Amino acid sequence: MSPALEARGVSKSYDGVLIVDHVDLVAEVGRITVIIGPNGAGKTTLFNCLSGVEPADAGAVWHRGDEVTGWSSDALARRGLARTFQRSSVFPTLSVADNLRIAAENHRRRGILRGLAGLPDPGGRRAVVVVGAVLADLGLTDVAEVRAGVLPSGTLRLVELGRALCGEPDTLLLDEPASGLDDTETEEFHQLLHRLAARDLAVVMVEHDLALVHEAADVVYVMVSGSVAASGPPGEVLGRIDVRSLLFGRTA
Amino acid sequence: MLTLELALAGLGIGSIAGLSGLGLLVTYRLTGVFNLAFGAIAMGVAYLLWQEVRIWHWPLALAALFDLVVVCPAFGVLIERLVFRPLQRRVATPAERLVASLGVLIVLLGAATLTWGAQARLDAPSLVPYRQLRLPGGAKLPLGTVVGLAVITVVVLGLAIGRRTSLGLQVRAVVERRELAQLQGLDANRVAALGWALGSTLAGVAGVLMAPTLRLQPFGFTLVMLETMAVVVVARLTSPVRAVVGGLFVGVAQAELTRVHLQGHARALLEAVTSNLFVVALLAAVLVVRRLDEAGGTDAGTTARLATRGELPPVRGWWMLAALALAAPLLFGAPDRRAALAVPALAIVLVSIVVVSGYSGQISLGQAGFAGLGALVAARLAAGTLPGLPRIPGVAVLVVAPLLVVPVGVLMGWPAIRRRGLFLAITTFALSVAMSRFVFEQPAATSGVLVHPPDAFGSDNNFYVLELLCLAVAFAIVRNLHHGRLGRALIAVRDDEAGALACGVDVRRLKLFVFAASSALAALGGALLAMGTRAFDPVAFDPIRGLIWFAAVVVFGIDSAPGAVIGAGLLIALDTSLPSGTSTLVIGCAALLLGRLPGGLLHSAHRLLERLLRRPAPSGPPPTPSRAIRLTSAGRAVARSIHRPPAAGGSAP
Repeated sequence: MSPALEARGVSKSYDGVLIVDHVDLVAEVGRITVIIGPNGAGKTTLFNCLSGVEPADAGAVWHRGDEVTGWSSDALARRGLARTFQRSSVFPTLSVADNLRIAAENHRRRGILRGLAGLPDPGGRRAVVVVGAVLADLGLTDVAEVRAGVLPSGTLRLVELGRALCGEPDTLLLDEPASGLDDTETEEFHQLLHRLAARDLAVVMVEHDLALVHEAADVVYVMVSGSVAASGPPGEVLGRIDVRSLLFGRTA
Repeated sequence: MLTLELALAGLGIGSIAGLSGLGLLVTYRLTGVFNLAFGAIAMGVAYLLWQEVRIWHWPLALAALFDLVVVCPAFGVLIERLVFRPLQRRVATPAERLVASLGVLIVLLGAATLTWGAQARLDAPSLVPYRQLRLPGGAKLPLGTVVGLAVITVVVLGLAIGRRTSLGLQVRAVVERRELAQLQGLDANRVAALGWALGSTLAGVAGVLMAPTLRLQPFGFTLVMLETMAVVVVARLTSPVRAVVGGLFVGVAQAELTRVHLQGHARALLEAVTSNLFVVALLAAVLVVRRLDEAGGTDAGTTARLATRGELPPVRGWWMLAALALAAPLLFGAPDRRAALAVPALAIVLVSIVVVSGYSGQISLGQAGFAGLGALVAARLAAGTLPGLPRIPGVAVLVVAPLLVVPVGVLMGWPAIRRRGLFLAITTFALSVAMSRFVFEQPAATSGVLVHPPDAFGSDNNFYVLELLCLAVAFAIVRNLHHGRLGRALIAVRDDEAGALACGVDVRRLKLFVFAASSALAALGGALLAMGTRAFDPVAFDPIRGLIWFAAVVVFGIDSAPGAVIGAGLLIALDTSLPSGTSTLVIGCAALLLGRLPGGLLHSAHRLLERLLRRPAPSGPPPTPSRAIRLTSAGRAVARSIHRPPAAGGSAP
């Protein structure tokens, strides 16, 4: 079976500065793949190239065995490659439920003209069911009708994750999903990740919390100044002293 | 073959364009506001000079000195203080600032039309006596050109030197990061005032120099000045030198093109291109330039802050009132009824602006172009004179003509997909100007066009009913666009475009679709507008009128279709009952007040009404502190020192 997401030789530079340098990455279904690295290592830029937010300068990306290099991010989202952002991108004027519903409604492209003519959306009922299930799964049912703009950042992280899930994806790219969460929330989030991976989802995430990485990750990639410095099972990769010093400077 | 003589002659217009571009650029760089009003400021100053010299018989030098040294800077400082500083203080979005500058433009237009009338004047005083300077080699250079070039040189040098002084450094700091600069104790307001004073003065100089070569007329003169914004787009809103070179280049090219002679249709086309070369340059610039260096960056959600923020709560029975008001003209006397025919038609055009700008957040200043195109296509279809198409009988014209305009809307929406905010606004305006100059004003397109209402709707009453039916269709389209899946997707795009893409929303297709729907609606409205007056009048679809329409929509709530209808009614009522220019002045003033009435007039009126009608809420028991709170001794001391307020809801003294 081909991996959920595979990248080969992905490179990206801004104004002549190489930010992502020939990165190879494989994310398998049912696994949690974590990318760690110091600030400025190019993790978010790599995510942007993988999810079509910006085009890579070189390299190729495969999603479930099909080459999707150069696809736009909305087309990839409809294909089942969902992502969240480091900086929250929820729709502040919409309720939490409507935030999720947009993802549930748009993961198939259906006629706009039907909408203009005022005809009901054929997939509308299913979308409502999906949204209800995801809200319950993430414990967001209580805030379903609250305007997203007024919620605390920890809840917004969940809303964004829920929005990604409502597109019924097979691959999830999460950019620092645990930042802004307190200890209890992080623990709950950790449980959630395992439940997701168990549902045949490939999860790729950028994460700083080494404890979380240790517990959750199946595969770890260490990125340093644009390229992958090491990859492998977390125990082996994180056990090496040189990785820790790469991340945090000299160890005391 | 290029000739030196023609090139030198072209430098005259080129230097004026360069000057007005410089003014626009300086204001933009120093204040972050793209000052659409600069065209109207140039027009106003040119008129003022005319008034002083021709009517009051002031000496020319004194009048010019007074206008350019006192009036212009004072006006600049005044609008900074009254209009833009309040916006700056509450960190207004670029769209809000653009609307404010539109307000200044429209106020000046209205005031000028009221004062001097709409007729053209040909005797604008010439600031520089017409004298030719003989250059070595025998070529001649008009003195006016020399003056223009000298002013440009002084300004560009001044800017270059100013950058290096400590004042220049402060200015750059303020422009770069206003809040941080203010924290350092720099006076950002003084920098902004400087920007406005300089910008208005340069606009004034350009206007005064331009006036003798043109007819002085409020709308026409302003539009010509606005067309010179081409050089600013070429300069990508940054480089003064590039703006000047661009202006000079277009001016020289214009002069050189007069030497080319062609025959037949090509000749008419060439003449149109030559006399409107700045429009061609503007169009080419907005299509070729990839990105404008916008101050503060482009932001999605550009028009979000102008929206009414949520639906208006329904006022019971509003639809009965609305139906009565809309049906009332059926009982009017003949002349008033004839005037009222324009209300539903204009309302549909305004609703088309609500469609494109209200929910999806794309500023479109070009709806007048689609409206005019719709009118023209409908008239030619009905007469059977549209090349390649048969005569379309009766009401079918009102369906076919808008559909024919849709491809044009899509074509014009294409460059708009990747553009937002200011760049999109300029692009749509440029397209509308091009349509006006190259279609509506061309005899080949409009001569012999007869406009009639469809056969069965010849009487004013019947035609009015037909218009109401069309308006109902427009309302249904808006409703469907703003509700359900489409409405949610549009709000998502407006709120956060990257987020919408991540949700799988096909943003490009959605934007194009909205553009297409809006252009069809505008075309329908335009066709009805022309049928109501039984004539195709290019003036009715002037790009400047499009700006006024946009401002009217914003004033009455950019996402409110009922507001658009009320706006149309008000515009027509004012135009028929009061001197021309009044409605323009009213809309302009209201646009300036928007800073204080967020969400538009309608929303503010509604909130006021609600506040007046609402009974004071019944006062419940005072909130008791939860028993779970355990106070430490320090906390108890604090609690003792706080006096309980006598009534619930009051705050501690």
